[in-house]
Order: sequence, then structure tokens, then C-alpha cells
Amino acid sequence: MSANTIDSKTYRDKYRLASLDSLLRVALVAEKICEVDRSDSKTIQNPYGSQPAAVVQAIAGTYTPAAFTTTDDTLTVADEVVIGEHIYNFEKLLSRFDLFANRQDEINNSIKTAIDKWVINCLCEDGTGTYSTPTGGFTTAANINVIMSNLLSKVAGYADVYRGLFLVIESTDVPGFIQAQATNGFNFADAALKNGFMSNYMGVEIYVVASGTFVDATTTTASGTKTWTNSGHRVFGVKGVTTYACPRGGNWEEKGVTGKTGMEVSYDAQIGFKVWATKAALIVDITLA
Amino acid sequence: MANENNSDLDTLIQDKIDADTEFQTSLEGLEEEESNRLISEKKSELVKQEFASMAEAKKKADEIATNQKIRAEKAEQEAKKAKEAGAKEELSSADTIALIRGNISDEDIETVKKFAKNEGISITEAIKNDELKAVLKVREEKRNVADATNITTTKRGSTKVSDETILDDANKGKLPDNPEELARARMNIKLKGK
Repeated sequence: MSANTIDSKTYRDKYRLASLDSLLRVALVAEKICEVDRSDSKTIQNPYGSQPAAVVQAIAGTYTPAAFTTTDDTLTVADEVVIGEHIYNFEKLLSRFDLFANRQDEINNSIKTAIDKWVINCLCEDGTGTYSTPTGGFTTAANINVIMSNLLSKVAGYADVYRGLFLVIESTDVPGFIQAQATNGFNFADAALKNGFMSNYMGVEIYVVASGTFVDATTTTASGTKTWTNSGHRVFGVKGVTTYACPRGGNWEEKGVTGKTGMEVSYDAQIGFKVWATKAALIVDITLA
Repeated sequence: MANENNSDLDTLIQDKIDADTEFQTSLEGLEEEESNRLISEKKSELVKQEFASMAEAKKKADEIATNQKIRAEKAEQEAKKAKEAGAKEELSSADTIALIRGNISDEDIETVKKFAKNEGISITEAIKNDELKAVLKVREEKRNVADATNITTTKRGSTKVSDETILDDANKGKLPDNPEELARARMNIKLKGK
């Protein structure tokens, strides 16, 4: 131990970065179901070629050549997550570690929730697979096996399934799962710090997010440049076939401002997301009935 | 014994005369009297040469014996001196007590002895010498550094401070050097459900 103090701005900045990184690693659902890119790339190019189709025919020795074409597919980082607040000196938030750390936890959680909400809604919106649940959706225990089996059939047989499967539900859907699996026993008490992971069900990893995560939004403070129509939807798919980009991680700034005591603290992180065209069918937009 | 030696000498001389073909050739055709005279002269000459040769050999033998005797005496004297010197270098009771009281390390005793010898002073006086004290201090510091340095292939384990301790200390205002350590400790405690 040394004479380090929370009064040191450098120390606070390092702590902020470390604490947010720790939280995102253990709490972000997006980290578990998407590929995460933290390079400096503003755009990520992923062009794909036309699908070759082999033909079986009676022996003739002839064939019909198909033109090979490529299609551009690009992830563009066009949104950012920001948060800022002013902390007055009399609040003592920057001079007492317990106060500082608790406030920092709140800010970190807010950032985590915003990122997860943005990524999960993008995922649900951009997936081209579709499925409508029986009436009652996940809240009806009798529906669970039906829904899961139908979802599995949407991706079965594709090469990427080996990466693992995921289903993201809201906390209000949990009762149906618990009742359906009552004999097995659920353990989701600390799901929040296990990247939302609740359990495995029929080989599918079930992730739980807070109620109100799936929403309709048109360029709002939740969706940024995106438009979503996800209220009453959930998302299922193959892990690791989409990309969530967060160039250079995030930046913390703390600065004094004119006319106010204390410091202004801000965080910003640029984010991008892409469901790659060739894999879009492996992400299923579930409509709750 | 003397007759035997004379007989041997006569035989030796006669052999030399018989072997001297040039001398034998010069005797051919001479009268017997003249021939005997020349032989007698030759014998006398050879006897003189033989005695001279023997005297020379004796002189050399005496010289070698004398040299060997001188070397032996010299070696004996040096051995005696070394023994006396060794006896003198052994510490006296007073020196031993002085070394103990001066808290001189085993590794420094030789240094103290050399210093005392070079300066021509006793061990007790040497220990009180400021210059020697400075030298001994430097040597002690070097030993302390060497003791503190990990020179084995086995890495020393660092003391693991618990997450709870880190957090408790932080709440009391004692923060760890690395903020990441503090962030990790807080997260670990949350993960443990505490």
C-alpha cells in the first residue's frame, strides 16, 4: 500500500476504466453472443461471393457455368454511447472511495445496459429468420418445449451451429422456463454477473435481460441511428455469427468547468453492429403471441 | 687394495698403448732398447694423464656434493622460517576476543588479519582503525544486498492480499498502487455474492 488517494484524477481515471471493463466482461450479454471487435476500425469489410451450386445430372460431359459475383457487406461504426454528469465538491463523490465507487458502479451499469439494449435490439431487428410463438409465449410453461424445438429446427443442419445457440428473453419470460423445468431446478440468482446466462435448455444457452429491453424505437436515445420494431419480440440464433464493434474500448474524461465547483465526468464509446448477410438467417426474430 | 688398483691401472695403460695403432706403427723397425724406452715414456705420459683425469673427476664430485649440501641447508632454513611465520599468524587470545567484541564476520577475519599485517599493527588495533571500519561496513552492505537478492531459480511467492482486505483498506483511504487491483477486488466480491 502506498499513499495513493482517490483525490488523484489519474487514479480515478484508471479505476473507472478498470471497473467498467470488469463489469462489461462479466455482465454484457453482447460479449457472449456476438463476435467483439475492439480494433481501431471505423468500418469492417466482409464481402461475400455468390453461392456455388453443384448439379447432379445424367452423364453428358457438359455443364453450364455460373457467373461468380461478390457482394459488399460492411459494418460501419456510426453510433456512440455517452454519459456525463457534473459532481460538485460538496457531494464528496471524488474524495471518498466508498461514495466514488458506488457512483461509478451506477454509471457502469447504465453504460452496460445501454450497450446491451442497443446490440440485442439490432440483433433482433436485423436477423432474417422469423418465428411466432404459440399464444402465451414463454410465460406459458406448456409452450416452452414447443417453442424451443421449433427454434432449433430453424438453424439445424447449418455449418455454424457448432458455435453454440442462444436465446435472449426478458425477465418476465422466466416463470415459464422455471415451471417447464421445475424438476431440473433452475439457478439464475446471479445471472446478472454471468453475462445474463441463466441456464441451458435443449442445448440452447438462455440469456436473461431486464424487462423492457426489447423495444420499438426510431432514432431515440436508446437506438441512436437505428430504427427498431422489437416490442413483444425476442431473439434466438447461432452464437458468433454477428459482430459488435467497440473501437478502442471507451474513453473517460474528467474536467473542471467554469462556474461550478467539482468536476464534470463523461464517458463515450463508439459502437457498431452487423448481422452479416450470409448468416442473417441464423438469427431468428421471435414474435410473442 | 692398493696393489689391485695398481694392477688395474697397469692393465688400463697397457690396453691404451695396444689400442694406439699409430704408436704401435712408430715402434716397427726400432731396436728393442729404443722401443722399450719409447713404451716406458708413453706409459709415464698416460699415467700422468690418468691421474690428472681422476683429480678432475674428484674435484667435480666434491663441487656437486658441496652444492647439494648448500641447497639442502637453504631449504631446511626456509622450511623453518615458514613454520615460524605460520606460528606467528595464528590469532592470540586477545585477538580472538577483540574479533568477537568487534562483531567481525567470519568472512571479514582474513581482511582484518591482512590489514593488521600490512599496517604492522595488532588485530585489536586494526579493528579500531577507521579505514578498516569503512571497508568492513561496505563489505557488510554488499552481503546484505546479496542476501536480499533472489539468486535461486525458485521465485519467491508474493503475499496475496485478499479482496476483502483491499476493499476494507480502500474504504479507510489506503488504496493499492494499481487501481485495476481495486476494481478487480470489488468485482470479485460481487461475484462471490458478498
